[in-house]
Amino acid sequence: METLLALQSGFATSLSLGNLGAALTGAALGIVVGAIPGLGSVTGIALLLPLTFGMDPTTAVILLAALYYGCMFGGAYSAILLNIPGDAPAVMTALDGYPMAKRGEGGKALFSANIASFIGGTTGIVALSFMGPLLAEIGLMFGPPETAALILLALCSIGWMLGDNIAKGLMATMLGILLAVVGIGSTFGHARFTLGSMHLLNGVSFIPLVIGMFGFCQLLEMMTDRPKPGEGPKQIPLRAAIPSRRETLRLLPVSLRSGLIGTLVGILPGAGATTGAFLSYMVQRKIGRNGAEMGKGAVEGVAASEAGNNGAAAGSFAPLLSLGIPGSGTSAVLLGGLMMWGLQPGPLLFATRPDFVWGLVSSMYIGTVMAVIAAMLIIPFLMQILRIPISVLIPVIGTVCVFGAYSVNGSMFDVWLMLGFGVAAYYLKAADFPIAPLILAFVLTPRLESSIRRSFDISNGDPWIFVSSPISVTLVSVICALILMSVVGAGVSWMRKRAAQ
Amino acid sequence: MQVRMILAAAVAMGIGAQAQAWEPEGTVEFVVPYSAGGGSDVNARMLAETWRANDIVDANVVVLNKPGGSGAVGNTYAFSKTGNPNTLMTFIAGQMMSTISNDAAVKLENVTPLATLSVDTLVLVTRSADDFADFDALVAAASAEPNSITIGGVSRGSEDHLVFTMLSDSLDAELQYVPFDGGGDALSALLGGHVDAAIFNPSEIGQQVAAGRAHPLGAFSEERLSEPFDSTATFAELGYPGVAISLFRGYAGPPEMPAEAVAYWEEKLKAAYDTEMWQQDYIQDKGLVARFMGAEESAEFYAAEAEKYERLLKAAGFID
Repeated sequence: METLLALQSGFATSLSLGNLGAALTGAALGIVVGAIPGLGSVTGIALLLPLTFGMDPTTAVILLAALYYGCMFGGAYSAILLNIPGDAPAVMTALDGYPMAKRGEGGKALFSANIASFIGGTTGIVALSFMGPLLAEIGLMFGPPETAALILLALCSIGWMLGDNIAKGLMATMLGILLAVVGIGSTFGHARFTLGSMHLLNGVSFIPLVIGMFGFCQLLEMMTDRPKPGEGPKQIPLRAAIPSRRETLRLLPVSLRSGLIGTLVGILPGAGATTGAFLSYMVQRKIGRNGAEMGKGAVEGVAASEAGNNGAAAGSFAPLLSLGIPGSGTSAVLLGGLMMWGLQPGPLLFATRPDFVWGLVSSMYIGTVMAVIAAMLIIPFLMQILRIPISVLIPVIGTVCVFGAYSVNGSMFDVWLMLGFGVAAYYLKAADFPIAPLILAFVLTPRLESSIRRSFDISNGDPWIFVSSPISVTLVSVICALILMSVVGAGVSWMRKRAAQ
Repeated sequence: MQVRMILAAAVAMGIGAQAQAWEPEGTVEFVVPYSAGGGSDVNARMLAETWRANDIVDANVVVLNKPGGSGAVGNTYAFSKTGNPNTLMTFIAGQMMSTISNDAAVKLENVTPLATLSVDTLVLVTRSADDFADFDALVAAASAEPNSITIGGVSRGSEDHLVFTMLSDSLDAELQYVPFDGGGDALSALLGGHVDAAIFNPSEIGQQVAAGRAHPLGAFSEERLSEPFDSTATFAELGYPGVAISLFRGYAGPPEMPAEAVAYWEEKLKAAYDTEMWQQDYIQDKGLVARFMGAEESAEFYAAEAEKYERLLKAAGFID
């Protein structure tokens, strides 16, 4: 009840003309920034932050928050249409979205992505408004051993990504791990495999890697195996692209569940929208009805990824607002913003500035609705991209790749890195090495390494720390069960085969 | 070489007479070697705003974030502007320390210190007084069981690791340092009870202390800090003299910055320091200690600090 009253007064703040305008501007900008490969929410907010210096803090944060979740909508576009994830959380969207576009279902994938984004985001915002401080406390229960177990659980699902040739799949995974260890290791603070280059001190940047291995590799493939005349993307009228009521209903359970998972991941320290999308996708793959179809162009895959990253974006506001702890790279920039506007982020913010906190939370409801309407209106124009002849598309994609890689740090080094990864991925794919496990390993291992090292630092080398809390015991049991299940399953099918002979 | 230096000095003196006449033309680039929203970024933007709002600097000052390599990317960028009077850079203790620990190409010798406006320090905090009432209680627990007490920090070779080394060297008991990737992760580990204590900048943890979610055990400062740390003893008071750190927040230009430009920026930095806006909105609100040092004094201070860091990093076995 108290929450409802607070929300009501929040709406009074957020419905002022200036704040409504801020939410709309932010959402629209976010969609554009998210859709441009290389410009993610972190860059977008960092670019806009200085302009908000003299603004009223509530208006400023409404603008930037709208940009944050707007990005999650826009990130899906280039992932689905060009196989270039617009930002890191959209990687999993590309896995199913691009095959759908190839089949001529690009429009449907776009609409589904945005519907799922909306449902997932709203789930996160509802959770934030009614349980924000509670969620933040739950996030605190995840220490290094719990985080390590959670990431290990996510890594378990690498098995089904490996493809037909397990050895090659594992080699790709190892390559991802190897790339991830480049840079200053967080545990000892020493530079590893930097080859004396200052640009590699912070490690290989994720965006050039992804743009290279997805986008630029895609371009090389388009150039080498041109479709015969008459083939190529099919043109679908807009009406056929809009999901039917039945199809929308099919998206509902996936989006709700993924939104919830995303929210929970978003509150964990340092996890963020990318991990949220990964985990939602994996859960969907394990328990969804057509899990086997995922990765080949299942609409559930698009929905799980998109709902997951929107949920996480909302969830990461819980620790930021109620404790002053940034839950992701983007909220770390926002934390700096709060200080710049003269606010004191911390546990007292809810009490000292309720107008600010509730104005922001209520604006998120309005902003998400605005974002989904704006996003839906853009889709018919985006679908025209599918009609562009391949000879025009190739130079466009090339430009987008170079621009995207450059814009992360404004450095040519990342462009060379992107080109190198693109060529490498082309040959890897030609030799049947899967790319998805490489990317997954690259994202998850740095966090896994530092969590394990920290756990050992805390326990003074005692491995029992990994089963010392109810959370970690549960997670480790689930991991063991998953491994046992697949071993037993393999054993049973082997026995059956023998019996049949 | 010597001839060139004498020539440069002569030129500098010649123009020195009209030093006041020099004004930056066009756009001034204010390089921040860290990402937007970080401590240096807030500092630079606050300074630019103070200059603008108080009509101190007329030129258009643009803050430019060049993050990467623990400050090395920004340092190198500023270095590439050798001799340019229109390029400024934030220069802080951690940034200088990482040039030593990473053996970076651009070091203190390659920048022109302009002025220092504030110093920061670190504090040791625990979750609540129920865990450890004071520092002695923590030491007693550590003595009872070696390496059982964990102290969270940002990363090995950083400022907090340095004071940790200083502190644990002066104890009989063994403490365990646990590096987190950033202040945010260390904070959630402390609040979640995953480490026994942690080291933060006062401004990072002040709100938690005020809310009763963290309990300060000691300050690594020379003097007592302001609220909410006014009742927190310094480590010198606790019987550990010399266990203190002054983390400077200063500004530097590229190498061979013309003398009249150095004089100009030094004067403008002092003017910003003297405004009420800077003292109130930055120093007071961000929990820093105001301290002005001019170009020459800053250069001497940085050199002395660099020497100290090198010695301490060697002692910690971090560099050889």
